[in-house]
Amino acid sequence: MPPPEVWQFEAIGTAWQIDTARPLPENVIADVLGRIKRFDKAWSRFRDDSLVSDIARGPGSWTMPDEADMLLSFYGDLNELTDGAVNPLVGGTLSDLGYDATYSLEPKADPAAVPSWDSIEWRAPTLTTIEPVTLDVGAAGKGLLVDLVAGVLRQHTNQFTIDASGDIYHHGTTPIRVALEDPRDPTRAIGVLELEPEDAMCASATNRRSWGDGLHHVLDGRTGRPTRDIIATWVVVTQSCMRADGLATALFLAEPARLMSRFSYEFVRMHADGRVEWSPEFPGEVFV
Amino acid sequence: MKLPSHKKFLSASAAASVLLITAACGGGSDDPADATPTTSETSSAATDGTSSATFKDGDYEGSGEYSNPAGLSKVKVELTLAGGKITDIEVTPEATNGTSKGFQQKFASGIADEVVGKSLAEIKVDKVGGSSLTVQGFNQAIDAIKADATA
Repeated sequence: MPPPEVWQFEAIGTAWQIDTARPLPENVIADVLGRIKRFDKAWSRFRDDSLVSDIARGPGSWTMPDEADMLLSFYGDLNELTDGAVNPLVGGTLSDLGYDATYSLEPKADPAAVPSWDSIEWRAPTLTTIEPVTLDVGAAGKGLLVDLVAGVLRQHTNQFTIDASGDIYHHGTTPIRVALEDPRDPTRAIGVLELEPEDAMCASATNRRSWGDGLHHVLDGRTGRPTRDIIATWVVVTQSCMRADGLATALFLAEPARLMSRFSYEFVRMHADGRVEWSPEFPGEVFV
Repeated sequence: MKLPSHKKFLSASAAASVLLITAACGGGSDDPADATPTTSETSSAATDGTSSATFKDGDYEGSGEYSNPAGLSKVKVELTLAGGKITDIEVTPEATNGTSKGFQQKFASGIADEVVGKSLAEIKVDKVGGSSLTVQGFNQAIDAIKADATA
């Protein structure tokens, strides 16, 4: 069971819920919201005053925030393991397809190609670009933010569950049970997973953010087009919601075994034709 | 309601829920270590209810059905209550046709051509992966067991 005190709020465009044993003091709430705000100011491609928007305006060099090394190194790994399919430089293409700052949801006739990962230079803490690029850290950024919020909370309490709409970090004494929502029917579950203390998970489905014929937020960096074969993934990783999030995205684009060669994780994924696969040690069950 | 024998029958829905919880132990192994959290969770959920009912010790048996693309599959559930807790539980799939047996074998290897799914109201969860909804429910199944075990 998650602890009983519930704090709900909206941040980075999504619903958050933090469960704790006792109500959080005001200073801790302020710390959490402050951490989220700093993250958003750096990484949001939806706000004009963000670092990412600045980078998108033209080539140059930028000093990136502390968390950038962890995040961009992880993206580098995923990019390699997926032969370029996972690429944080998809932002411009996503925007052209309609997933832009104003949520126009109007695809352009000729969306921009995705720049290659090699076109940027990352030497922590400095990012150097030779052309305007729009970073979109949607594949792993929210998970990282959940980890950062967990870091803030851990200093104040030893029992909490963070649920940022699909990205969950559980820090407590007993496991919690999480339904695997059926992407074809949100009133149903295709299974249940058991999240142990210090486990993080991410659920990703293309139905939640789709806005037209085959258009949704998971793009193949090689083609610049949305993926089609996989419709939902769930990943569990010990102590890293960032990895759970990034791997949940990568599973839309790569074979599970290849990702397992580098990362330790458990998963379930669902194909558009209804087939479901899961890892042998998956901590839960699938309702077959 | 007193039954002459020491065996009682659970409702079909409760039996099916017990099966699905038990099957959660990755790969459906018979390892008792795998089964422990399942049984303790079931019993604690049952005792956390509003009533302070105590359950009669003894062996219980029930069967349930669930539908899958190949038709109905049957399961048999046997459990032992001692001191108000489930101390032993055994679930036996009783697939009635070849296709169902095939599905049950695929379950172990981690791939299924189709999932049946369950209504969120049928399963007891703390969170839903895919949205921020908090789900209540599934306690009905536990309630059914409680009702049977205290009758």
